[in-house]
Parts: sequence; structure tokens; C-alpha cells
Amino acid sequence: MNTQEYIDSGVLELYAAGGLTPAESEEVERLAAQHPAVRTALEECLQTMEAYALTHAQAPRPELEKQILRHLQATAETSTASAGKVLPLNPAAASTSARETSRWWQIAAVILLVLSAAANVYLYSRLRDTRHELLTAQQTTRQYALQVHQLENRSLQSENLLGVLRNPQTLAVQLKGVTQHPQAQATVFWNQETKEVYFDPANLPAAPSGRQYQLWALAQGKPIDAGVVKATESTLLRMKSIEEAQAFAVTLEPEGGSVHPTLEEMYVMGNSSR
Amino acid sequence: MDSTLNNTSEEELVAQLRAQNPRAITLLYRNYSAALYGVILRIVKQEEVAEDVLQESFVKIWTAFPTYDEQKGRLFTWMLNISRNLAIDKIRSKQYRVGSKTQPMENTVTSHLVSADGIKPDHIGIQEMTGQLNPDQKVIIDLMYFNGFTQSEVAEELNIPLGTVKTRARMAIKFLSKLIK
Repeated sequence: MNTQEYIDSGVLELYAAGGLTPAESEEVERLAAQHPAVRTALEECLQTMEAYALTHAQAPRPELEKQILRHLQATAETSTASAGKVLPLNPAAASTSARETSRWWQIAAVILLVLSAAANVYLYSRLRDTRHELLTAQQTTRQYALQVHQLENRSLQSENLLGVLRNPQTLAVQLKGVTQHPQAQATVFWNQETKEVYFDPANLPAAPSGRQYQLWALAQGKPIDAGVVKATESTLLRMKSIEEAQAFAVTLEPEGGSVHPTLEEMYVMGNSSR
Repeated sequence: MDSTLNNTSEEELVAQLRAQNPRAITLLYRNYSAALYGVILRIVKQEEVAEDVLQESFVKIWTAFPTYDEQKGRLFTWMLNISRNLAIDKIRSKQYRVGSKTQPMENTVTSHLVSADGIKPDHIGIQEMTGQLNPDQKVIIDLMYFNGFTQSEVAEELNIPLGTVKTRARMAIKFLSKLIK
């Protein structure tokens, strides 16, 4: 650093006149401690400002001396009293050791404070991480519970259906595609005893929106509504129970089904007579 | 200059203060009250307030003395800074703020001194000579020293570049420095 340039810049004068911010002042003090030339120049500026301050000197009212000295005496006594100490015979030595002791306490307190602050920061960040992990774990658990529930339901359904299918009373009726829809295929499972009807729409094309398949039972040449085919993922749908049927057929109907089948829109049909 | 403010007496005083010699308080007051009071009065401009600030200053000097470091500067400079800071804090508190920045430069210094008691003749000599200080330079020193302005606040207040503030501050103190030698 060019000390002469620094001295000539006027920054020392600003320091002496009190025109620097605390940060700027610290910089000046630092450089003055490093460079004797800066220190000497600064010293002179400060003495000049002291002299300038003195040109404003004015004695306060004489009565003020007693008042302020009394106040100072009281302040000194209060600070001694509040420290809770008996005035020792050798005040200088005792106060030095007291000051040193209290300084050690201060240092210890500062160290403890810093350690505790650091621990707080660390523990807080750990707490945040842990909370986050807990939240994730809770979400995962809820998801698993939901999946287990769904699987249980599905397994229960399957068992029920399997029971229906394995029942010797259950009749499987293959419904084959009619001329217009040769690829279409479906199965009706009809329990002769309980009259329950299950429908497997496996090979029916997806119903266009606004329309639904409807299952019909044909008894004595008359169509009986066996329910509409709901769009679901289940392979087997529970339909209306049917007392008597010689055949089953599926037609495409407006959503909600019809009272009479639209025969032109028939997809599959199968005979249920033994 | 005032013989009570020379280095030897300051050293003695520091030693006595450090030893918590009760006599040191009286000595401190007798040696420095006029100097500190003059600066405080120049800042707060009201005698009643200046007396309060002077008392606050001595309390602070007494209680903060363990933090005073001789290596960092002279006792007088340290005490002046305490008094100045307390006085400037005072004028920045609400009741003083109005108008203090717009007309900070009333030239009341001389009249204070003429009416003051116990001013030593050589002070008046310096005072008369500081009258010779270029007003453009003096205003910069005074804004910082008696109004607590920073260099950039001075530049803004006077609408001059920061570099000019520095140059003028340097010239002012150079000039004053020659006067006191």
C-alpha cells in the first residue's frame, strides 16, 4: 500500500472529524496499527481536532460539579453494591482478581452461548429433516394401506366369484358375436339354484360414450332386462337375478338402458338351454 | 495549550482511574468538564440539555472506563467521542430532529465564548484564528463533528462530490494544525 497516497487522500481527517462509518473507521484503525507513518499522521489529525474542540470550551455552571460528582459517586456505589461485594482492604488487587474472574465467566458464558447456538442450529436442521422424512413415511404408509385395502377387496371378490364359478349349479353360457360383430364375445355365469347372474364382458368392444351395453334374458321368446353393463375393471359383473331363460343376448343401448332391446344393435347371443 | 490537558497529566489520570482512586473522578471533572460541555453545548444548543448530556457523559466515561485502550488513542479523544455521540444521539431523538439538518451552521460559537467563564486567553486566540478558516472547509468539519454527518451525508447536504469533501476536510485540518503548533 502507498501510505503517502493514503494519508493524502483525506480519509484520516474524515476519521478525526467523525465523518466515517464504523466500518470505515475500523479500516483506518487497522491501517494505523500496521503503518507507523499512517499512525503518526492520524495522531496529528486527532490532536488538531482536540484543539478544535477546545476552542469551543465553556465551563458549565459551578453548581453542576457537586451534582454530577454526587451522581457519579452514587453510580460507583450502586455498581459495587449490586455486585454484592464487601469493599476489600486492598481494592486494587481485589478488583483486578474480581475483574479477571468475571472475565473468565464472561468468556465461559460466551463459549457456552456459541456452543448452544450452534447446537440449536444443528438440532433444528435435524428436526426439519426428520419431520420431512416422517411426512414422507406417513404418505407411503397411507398409500400401502390403500393398496392393501384394494387388494383385499379384490381378493374377496375373486373368492366370491370363484365360489360362484366352481358351484356345480352354475351354468356358463358362451355368447357369440352376431353377423355384424363376429369378433365380439362374452360369457354369462348363471346359478340355477340361486338364480344369480354374473357377466364377463371380456371381448366386447368398448362402448361409445353416452351408450351402454345391456344384458337380456330371453324367456319364452320375451326379452327380460338383466341390467346394464357398468364400465368397470372387474372381470365379472353381478347382474340382475334371472328366474328363467332359454338364451342371453347383449345389445348396445342409450346410457341407463332401455325397456325393450334394440335388436339392430345386438352384439352377442348364446343359448342357455341344457 | 491548557497545561491540565497535556500527556503527563493524562497518563497520571488514567493510572488513577484504573486504580479506582476516588479522587480521580473529581480530577476528571475539573480537567475536562469545560471542554466536553463546550462541545456538547455546540451540538445540542440548549444549556439545560447540555447539562444532562454532560452528566450522562461522565457516567458513561466512568462505567465504560475499563474498555478504554490507551494503545488506540488518547483519553481526551475517547471522552470527546463519548460526549459527542451522546449529544448527537440527543439531537437525533424525535424532539430535536425537526429543522436541525436544514440550518446546522449558525455561527454562535464566538458569542458562547465571549459570555463564557473560565476561558483561557490562548483559547480565544485559537478561536479568533479559526475564524480565518475558509468557510467552505469549516462547514465540512462542523457538519461531521457537531452534527454527526458521515462524509456521504455531507456531500449530499452540500451537493458536492465526495472527493471534494475529503480534500476540504484535509485542507481544513492542515490549516488548523498549523495554528496550534
